[in-house]
Parts: sequence; C-alpha cells; structure tokens
Amino acid sequence: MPALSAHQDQLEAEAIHALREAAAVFRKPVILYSIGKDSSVLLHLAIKAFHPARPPFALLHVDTTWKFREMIAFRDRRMKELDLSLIVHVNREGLARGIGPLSHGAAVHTDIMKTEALKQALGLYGFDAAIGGARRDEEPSRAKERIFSLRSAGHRWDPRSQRPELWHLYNGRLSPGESIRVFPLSNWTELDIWTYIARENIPVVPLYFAASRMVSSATAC
Amino acid sequence: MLILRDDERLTLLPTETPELRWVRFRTLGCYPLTGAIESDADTLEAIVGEMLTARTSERQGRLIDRDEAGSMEKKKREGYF
Repeated sequence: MPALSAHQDQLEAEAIHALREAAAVFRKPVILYSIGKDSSVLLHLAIKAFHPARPPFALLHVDTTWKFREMIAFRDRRMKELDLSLIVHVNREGLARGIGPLSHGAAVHTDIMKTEALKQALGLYGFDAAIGGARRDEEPSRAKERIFSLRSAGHRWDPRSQRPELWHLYNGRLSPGESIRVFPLSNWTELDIWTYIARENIPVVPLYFAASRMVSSATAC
Repeated sequence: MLILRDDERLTLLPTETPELRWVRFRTLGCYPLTGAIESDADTLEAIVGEMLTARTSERQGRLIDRDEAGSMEKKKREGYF
C-alpha cells in the first residue's frame, strides 16, 4: 500500500525531527518510557534518529508498583536486548504511606504515584525536557497540546500560554525553572501506531494481543 | 470494565466471578485501573483491522480519565503527561 507507506514516512520524519530538535536544544532531555506501544514506537524512533550513535537521551520509567507483571518483564527484557540503561523511579514516600489505587482511589493514586513521582524524578535528575508518547487522538485535552509543550516552574501546564509552532519551528527557550514536554507522536493515531509497529517489526507487550484470560466485570475502586 | 486480576492485592467482591474470555488491552497502565476489551485480534494484522472499525478512543479503558469532568485537563495542569 504505497499511499499508506508515504503517510507513515511523513509521520516518522516529523517525529524524528522533533526528537533531533529536542536533542539539539535541551541541556538534559529524558524519554519517558512507560512500556506501552507508544513508548515502544518512541524508543524505536529515538534509536533510528541517531543511528549508529546511541540516542542522546536518558530513559525514565515512573513505576507506580501497580503495573502488569508482563509489562515489567517486557521492560527488563527490552532494556537488556537494546543494551540501554533505564532509570526506574518510584515515589518512595507514597509507597511508605501505602498509597494505592484500591485503598486510596484512582485519583489519589495517580496523583501521588504518577504525577508527583514524575515531578520528583525530573527534579532529582535535573531534566529540562521530558519526551513522551502521548497522542492527540487519545483524549480531548491532549488534542490541543503543542509538540513542544511549555511547563512553568512546578511543572504546571497552562493551555493558554503555549507557543505557536508554525512551519514545524519549535521554540525550546526556557526561563529558570521552566521545562518542556515533547510529544513527537502528537499527530499519530492509534491506527498509525499499529501500522508502524507492523511495518518496523517493533516488539510490544503480549497483553496487546487477544488471548483467553481470566477477567471479571468490575466497577473497580 | 473487564479487569484482569494480576496479583493478590486486588480482592474480588463476592458478586464478581472471574471467567475466561478472549480479551486484549488497547492501552496499558496500572492493572486495577485498566480495562480489557473483548477481542479476538491476536495478530498485528487483526489489530490493524480492528482499528479500522474502532469508533472509540483507547483511553475508554482508562478509569482515571473519567473520574470527574475535565479530568485529564486538570491532571495535565498539575503536571501529568
């Protein structure tokens, strides 16, 4: 399917451009690796963008300690195969307080074990740009994101103070305390992700494939 | 929502009886907060085929996106991805 392939090439070029810009502009950029299919594509693109050199990014996984075991096994296996080192950050304080989705509810758990944990890690290592695999087709507030999304001190996002991105020119200038989130896959759809995974033969967690599994219909939390 | 009980920390209510079903995940996160979908797509080709007819976002399976109105926007303002 040549038409589809040209579309994939264009998305790939756009993402690689954003990744190279991030490498060029920021002092200490990090890839947020969350083990999912989008992270797998992002990592693949980062490797491709700088081949044969290693991607000039640190890699970070924010572990809530509630991920599927298959995800963790996949993560460790992939890092070994790719010979990459991954920073795994857990919010130790949250863990000590016993924060979890069942005891505290989804909102508190996500806030403390994901958002807070991410902010801790970014501060701890001094990363000035965090590259993630979020896409615009996922959810309405992600739909209005920039590719270089400005975060104020304290990592706050103000949709109204975002910078224009005309002609794919990204503005990575930062005042003290500010940081940027980079979303190279912004314009990809879920279908694009899967088509690209098939085209490039990118390994993904087996949970994405249908199988007979023990599940219960639950109104969790 | 179809929940896969991945370890002992999640206890089931007496009314919840696990059963074997053909499912897959469109998105992966914390297991108690991530719903599976019924599907028989067990190859990349089948998943691509499923995507061509999908009319909902993969985030439908994420509980945290819908715990209140404007939920993701609020989380993003606070620093979530």
